[in-house]
Amino acid sequence: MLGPSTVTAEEIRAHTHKAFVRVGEEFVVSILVDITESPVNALEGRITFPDKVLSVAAIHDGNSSINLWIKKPHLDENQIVFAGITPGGFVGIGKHLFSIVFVAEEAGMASIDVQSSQIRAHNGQATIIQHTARSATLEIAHGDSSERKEVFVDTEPPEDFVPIIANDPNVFGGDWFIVFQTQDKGLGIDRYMIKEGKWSRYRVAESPYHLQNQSRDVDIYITALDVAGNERYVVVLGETKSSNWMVVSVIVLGVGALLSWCVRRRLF
Amino acid sequence: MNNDVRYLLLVVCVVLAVPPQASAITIEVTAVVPGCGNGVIDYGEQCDGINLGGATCGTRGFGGGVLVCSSACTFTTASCTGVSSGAGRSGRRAGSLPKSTIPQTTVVFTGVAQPNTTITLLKDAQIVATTRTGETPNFQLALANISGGDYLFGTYAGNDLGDRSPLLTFPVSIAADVTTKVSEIIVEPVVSGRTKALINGDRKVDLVDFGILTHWYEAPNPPVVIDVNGDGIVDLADLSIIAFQWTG
Repeated sequence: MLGPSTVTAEEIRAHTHKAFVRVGEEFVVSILVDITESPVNALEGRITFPDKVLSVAAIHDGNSSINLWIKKPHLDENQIVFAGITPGGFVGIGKHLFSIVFVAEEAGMASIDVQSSQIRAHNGQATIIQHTARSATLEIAHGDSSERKEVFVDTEPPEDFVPIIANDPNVFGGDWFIVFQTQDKGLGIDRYMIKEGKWSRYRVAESPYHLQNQSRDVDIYITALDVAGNERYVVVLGETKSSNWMVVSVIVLGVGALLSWCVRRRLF
Repeated sequence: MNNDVRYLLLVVCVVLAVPPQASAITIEVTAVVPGCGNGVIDYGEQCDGINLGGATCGTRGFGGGVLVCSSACTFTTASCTGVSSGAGRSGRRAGSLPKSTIPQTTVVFTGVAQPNTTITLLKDAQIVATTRTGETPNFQLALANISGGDYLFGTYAGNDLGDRSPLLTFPVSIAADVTTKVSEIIVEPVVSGRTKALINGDRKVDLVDFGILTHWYEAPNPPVVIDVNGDGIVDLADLSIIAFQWTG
């Protein structure tokens, strides 16, 4: 965070178009970053808010300047935590990280604050970038709002993606795991689902995912679902399928040869 | 902008052009390299300021007029007069896609890189296409059927020895159902020893390394090889370092 004598234009800010809402009303707060000097490639922080006055209806990380989330923005004990990187780095004013849809629960003043934020330079040494953090403040009044809900439209599925199967002695005891990540240019990715084998059941998964089937002889289906319910799925084919078919073929040929031998010997 | 940081800033100029004979819309985007503007024609630059390297409208295929150097250190022939021969014109309008009546979101990348190298294109940190330059430095890559939205594209060149150039990234806003041309990309020369054997020992820094580091993120007692900066914990600094080394 910024010391009192430091002058910098770099900033993480909570931004909302509204200064005044009524109880029951939804409103959006965008978390933006201004990077005016050298490019940066890693950010983290947490967003705090008065949890008696506000509740979180949704978090949208679509079209984010962050490419890879280490901690996808999520609610954790009445605060929203996030961390992510952008390989190659970025600069710019008002770069979008994610948005929070709040619901006003009680009358009063509400301040949405950026806390413990870190920005790292894209210079290979991860130099800490001095910056300011700006809050969004608004007033919540009693009374019924005529604009209660924010309407979001997202009809595009997440981007296509290519999972990678790998192993490493330092992860999952050297077992095979799969990594996957994609982006959604609409509201953002909601979750990933994975199943190993055509007839198994989907389960919610995070990358890296420890494969249950270490023989890797089944197809792996991964579905990325966005917040609006649009989905993109990819299939990673099992590697040893050809050898399975060879085994089956050898068995069939063997049985065929046995039957032929039996017929010739008039054993039937 | 800090010129020491080799970072490509894009989206300086956006031209919306609708060819009269086609329904497809084309958006052209021009790249600019920081460092351009020092008066010296560096690698990848056609000109720099008033230094045109002896070029004139005539040498660019026009009858006359004034040849201008753009802020991207490329020739601007808007003030040239007469008929162009075509061969010497700026590549900005060359290589148009086949006209199609079916709208689709397509991005075409053109630029120059070191001859006889493999050009890798990244979209939001993941490899989506590669091509190879021949004896000439020009390259072209195309992506089709992506969503409209804000993307961070990146390119680098690599040789057969595993050496590569720094990753150049450029943000581009892609409009749906149109063709966006990103031109004048200048990929820096290949540098020996650029990619270190990080994390899992291969010469790539990709989603696998990211997955391994996120597995150990803020966990106690990480293995030494996982702790990139050796400070005893895998945190944002380690991830920032691999983001700098990224190959996709």
